Amino acid sequence: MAKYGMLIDAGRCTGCGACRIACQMQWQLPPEIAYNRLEHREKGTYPKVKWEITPVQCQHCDNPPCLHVCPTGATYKRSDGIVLIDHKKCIGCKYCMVACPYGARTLDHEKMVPEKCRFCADYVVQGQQPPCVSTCMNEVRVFGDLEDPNSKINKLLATGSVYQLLPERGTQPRIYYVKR
Amino acid sequence: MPKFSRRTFLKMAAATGAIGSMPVYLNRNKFLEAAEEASIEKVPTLCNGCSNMCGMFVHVKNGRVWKAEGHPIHLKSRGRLCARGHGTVADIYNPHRVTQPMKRVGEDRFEPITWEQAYQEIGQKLMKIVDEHGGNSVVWMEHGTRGKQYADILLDYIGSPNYITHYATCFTSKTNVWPKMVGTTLYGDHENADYMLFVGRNFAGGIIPNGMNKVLKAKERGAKLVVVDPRHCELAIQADEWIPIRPGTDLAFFLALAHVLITEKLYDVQFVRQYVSGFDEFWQANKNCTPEWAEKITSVPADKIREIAREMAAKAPRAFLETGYHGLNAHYQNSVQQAQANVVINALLGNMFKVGGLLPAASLELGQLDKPVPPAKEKGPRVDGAGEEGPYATVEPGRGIPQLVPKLVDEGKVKAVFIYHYNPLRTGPDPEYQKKMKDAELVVSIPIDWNETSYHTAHYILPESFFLERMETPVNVNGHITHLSPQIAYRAKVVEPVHDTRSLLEIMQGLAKEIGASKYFDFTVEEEAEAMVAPLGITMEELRQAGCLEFPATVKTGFPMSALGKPSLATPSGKVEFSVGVYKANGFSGVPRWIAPKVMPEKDNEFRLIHGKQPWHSHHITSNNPYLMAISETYNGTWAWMNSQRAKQLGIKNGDKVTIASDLAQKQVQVKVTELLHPDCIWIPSAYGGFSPKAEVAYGVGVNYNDFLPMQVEPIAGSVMGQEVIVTVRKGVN
Amino acid sequence: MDSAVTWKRVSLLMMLLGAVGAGAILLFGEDVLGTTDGVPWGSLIATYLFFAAASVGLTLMASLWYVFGVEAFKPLTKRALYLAIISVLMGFGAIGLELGRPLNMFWLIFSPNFSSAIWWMGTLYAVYLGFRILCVYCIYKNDERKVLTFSRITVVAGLLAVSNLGSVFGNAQARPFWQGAAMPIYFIIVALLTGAAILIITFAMLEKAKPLGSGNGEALLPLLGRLLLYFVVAFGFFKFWYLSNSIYGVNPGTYEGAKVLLSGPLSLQFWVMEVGLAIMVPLFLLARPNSYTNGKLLWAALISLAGVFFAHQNFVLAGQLAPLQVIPGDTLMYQQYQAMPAEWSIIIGGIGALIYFSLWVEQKYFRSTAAA
Repeated sequence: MAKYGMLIDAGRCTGCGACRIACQMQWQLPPEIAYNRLEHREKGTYPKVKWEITPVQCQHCDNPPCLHVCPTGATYKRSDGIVLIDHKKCIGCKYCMVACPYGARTLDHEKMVPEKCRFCADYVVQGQQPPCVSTCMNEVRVFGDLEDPNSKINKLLATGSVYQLLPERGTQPRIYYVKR
Repeated sequence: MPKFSRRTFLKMAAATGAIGSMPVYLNRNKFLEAAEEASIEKVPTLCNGCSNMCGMFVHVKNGRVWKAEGHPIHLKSRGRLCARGHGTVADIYNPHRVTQPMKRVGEDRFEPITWEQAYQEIGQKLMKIVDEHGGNSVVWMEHGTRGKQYADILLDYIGSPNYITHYATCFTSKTNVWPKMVGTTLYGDHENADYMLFVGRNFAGGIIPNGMNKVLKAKERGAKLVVVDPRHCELAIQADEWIPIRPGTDLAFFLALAHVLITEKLYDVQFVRQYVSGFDEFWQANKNCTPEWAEKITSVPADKIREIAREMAAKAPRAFLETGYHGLNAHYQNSVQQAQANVVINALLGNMFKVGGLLPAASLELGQLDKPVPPAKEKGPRVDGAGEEGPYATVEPGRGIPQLVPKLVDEGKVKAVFIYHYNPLRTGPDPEYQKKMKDAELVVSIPIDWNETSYHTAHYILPESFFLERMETPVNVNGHITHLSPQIAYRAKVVEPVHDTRSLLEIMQGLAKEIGASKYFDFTVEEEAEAMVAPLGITMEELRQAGCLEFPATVKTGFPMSALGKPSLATPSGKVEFSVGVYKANGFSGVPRWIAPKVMPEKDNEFRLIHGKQPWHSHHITSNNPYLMAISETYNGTWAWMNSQRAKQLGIKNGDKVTIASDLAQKQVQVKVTELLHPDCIWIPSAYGGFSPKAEVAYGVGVNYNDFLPMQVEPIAGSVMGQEVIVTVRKGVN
Repeated sequence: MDSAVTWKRVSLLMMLLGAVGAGAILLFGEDVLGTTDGVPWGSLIATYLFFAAASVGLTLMASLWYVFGVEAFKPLTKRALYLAIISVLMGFGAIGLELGRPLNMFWLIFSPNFSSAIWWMGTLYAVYLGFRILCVYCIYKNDERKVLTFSRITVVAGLLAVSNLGSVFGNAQARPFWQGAAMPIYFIIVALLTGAAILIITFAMLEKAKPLGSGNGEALLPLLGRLLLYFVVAFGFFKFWYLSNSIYGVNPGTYEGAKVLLSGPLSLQFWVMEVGLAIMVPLFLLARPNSYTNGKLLWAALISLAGVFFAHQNFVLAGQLAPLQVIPGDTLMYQQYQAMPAEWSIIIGGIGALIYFSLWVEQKYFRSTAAA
């Protein structure tokens, strides 16, 4: 069984927003709903300053806080590690939004379901890449199977120095970031 | 002529597959299988999010456009698209498109009319104007190049020389200088360079996806990237170093670089001796341009200038000064000299026609459909004076001076204006001045959406079909990035028009019928396309299936030499000419010399107003796109940037509303207080300030630099000098 | 009964306003609320907390006689019971409006997630309400023994339900400001404070309405006043120590939450509406039990109730307004939240309903029994 994961080399990101809108097109979302976002930071003072951009999205935690708090089990984790939402069970309490330490959820105002990145579940099982990965000119993201020793992501994880977001929260994210 | 066969195509597809992963749809059978399963049609075409025309596959589900992805072979996209590409595709269903021909019936009122009525009325008015005032009272304005093939027929038929593009607001200095100094245009070979110096060029803002990819590939290899820009632009994120420079002084920086290269004997002496003319004249004119001199002007430390020059020289010829784009080339009084200095630096590095340095574009000669041409008519001088005897003799007539058109209308010299795929009211200086265009006897706009020019000036609006709804003729894929092999691609029709809109050729045919020019437009775009690709040994069917085809390499490295062993550039000497004879003949300096910017900020509350492309907008043309504007909304994209020290002095905090004022306008905007900007300037993205009430997404959002910018013409290349404007800033909105 | 008629009219108007707000929320959903992706829980959650805690508080006050046998409080028990039921129903109304897809609630039964504090909240409050209604039924049937049994069960259920609210917030992984073992206790304190205040208002109004009203208020009111004083002191104690720990402990998340209240975007609402109305003014009015008058007690109760509502709102928002520190850095701006008219209308409508139905019960049951 595959365990899907992602490696984000945030240092390569130049903030063009292609990942956001490619995802919106993939899932036919309205303009104001986005499943990924960019965090902008300025470090230092003029003229010695760095502009750091970090893409953030659902981390597909192995220990997902949103899943633990969901009263009806609408949020669930597949055996391949992808955390998804069963719309028909969701009561719209937004507990998952409050609980997620990554702020990864966004409320779909029409369906009233707190939505998030789906790791393109239906597509990756067919061997396709999520469009946020494939459209990126800077190749910021790498998506793949963490169980497959030959996958590109595993090779990169083995060689590079990586970190996870908020590891102290014990969420065990499946998204890794390359250290700047 | 390189011959193309199915076999070479397959070989090339295999080669591409070896480099990257070969997508399933390159193999047509596999692709058809996949498409069948998903009942999704993937149509290759060319993007219209900016003017780079990236290759893309558009996915169509049940007759509806679903999404796009980059074409894996196409040089510009290489399987990747930027935000504009994705957003533009979604725009086909934008509710603010012009859905059928419109006729103005009042200040802000239009009434829908039939195409036939539109053709009739426009045709009659046009012929009356031509009869009474002559052909050169008619101008055709457009963004550039794509309508030219049809506009030219019309202009030839009525006897008008006035084809005008938007380039005066873009890279007109560069295109003026390079043919005169180098005889061609060269582009950086980013992928193979060891040192890249980008000055005023934001590769991550004005995006060619594969261009950015090449830069990062070079960086992975260990290449050095240095970005000199008043603003820490997005590209600077990837740079080894960002060096802020006082805006408008890039020329001084270049002259000092040249000074170090020459005084320290770091330049490629052999290259200069063999392939450069006018070196001494350049040196005599710029002997005093030391790094210390430049430091005072540019605020870049002299030692830093020396360091850059030395490092570049050490890496030459795999080192170049990026040849630039919009940034710097239409912005200042010294833009032309700046473009000249760019050529000088690169020539001193001896990097021209070398791998890792600068290379020419790969292209193929396309065929032409044999069709009747209108009988030759005596055309008067160009009404904007571009290339004519007079003040604008050195301006390229092929580009024109669009910012003069409202004035020419006002003076009664222009009576009819056709505006195709162009929005000078928003993208040209001083919108109130631009509005004078509406006083012409006939103003016809051919847009997609309700842009400002259509809404405020057009008498007739003839909506063109969206780029996904029309076919265009094949083009060479090249420019701004390098590739040894030429590529041919074309814009295919992906879906039927959603509204009652037509392609430009259809519009021209309709109009031609009314003015008796039918027989010059008696062809289809398919016939044209077939004739164009015929010499390449391919058919349109092959191109239709592949979307983009690559041919054996045509670019050769090494300086072009004649059979006699002499340098053979298309310049008078065959060499790179540091001194431009035509400039000299018209009373300008032949070699670049220091010219100060026209205006400078002086007081505590004065700033130079500079602008730039936001990575998700193509200046203003994408500003009515709900998806792209949602990105602006999320990231406070409309805010004006201000250096934190200056903000502190003025008591301005992040997010505060301020009033920006020039002699022309006074506007309110929120401020991003930042460390990422030179203290001398305010930076605003070029995307905002929509003022067409029918383009509701853009309307009233943000401000535009053109609001503050007076109409001006740079004398050599005719640019608008888009950053020669000083504004005052104060906290508050009253 | 002129004042009763006036109050009925006023409360009907308040309910009408609430109904309009509720209609707007049902029709336009999230668009008429101030909540955002950054602040998913807003004023409706605070309204829910207010009524849910009030209900348990009233039950706890009633238990002083039923469970603990304190004779002095016997007269307030029946009134506390019906007020508790009305309150919890109002609370359910508020959270029902807050839920985006309330019709899917049946999945709480068919697909329960036992690790979810909201699942427990629904279950415990349902059990609590069930037994509370059973109690009332048994009182009506005059089955004194069953009333006692069910009352004891209800107190346990109520205590679990209200302390579980601390868990609902405390289990939100992302919000350290809401976490910690003290939170369930805090909700019990707030519940008691709210319950006491509502009872003071009820009996003070009944005293005013004499001779028609009958509540034995003369004896009860000073007692309740003293209780309210203790609860206000406990509430103040809690806030003080909790916030001082949060600030000086400098734990990520708790520190930012405390800053939101003390000097951030909620500082005005904290210092004036919460510290001022819920603590300082009631303390001032209640400090000397010898000086109690009905009017003074009524004001103290009213003002502290208003303060408690803002305390709930501050509590809900303080956990969310400081942005999540996903990526460390200093360019942080607070999340924006502004309660919208629809949200205000629900709290107003809820209070209106509480008044209206109280009057209705008073007139239908208590006045008739008193007359008889």
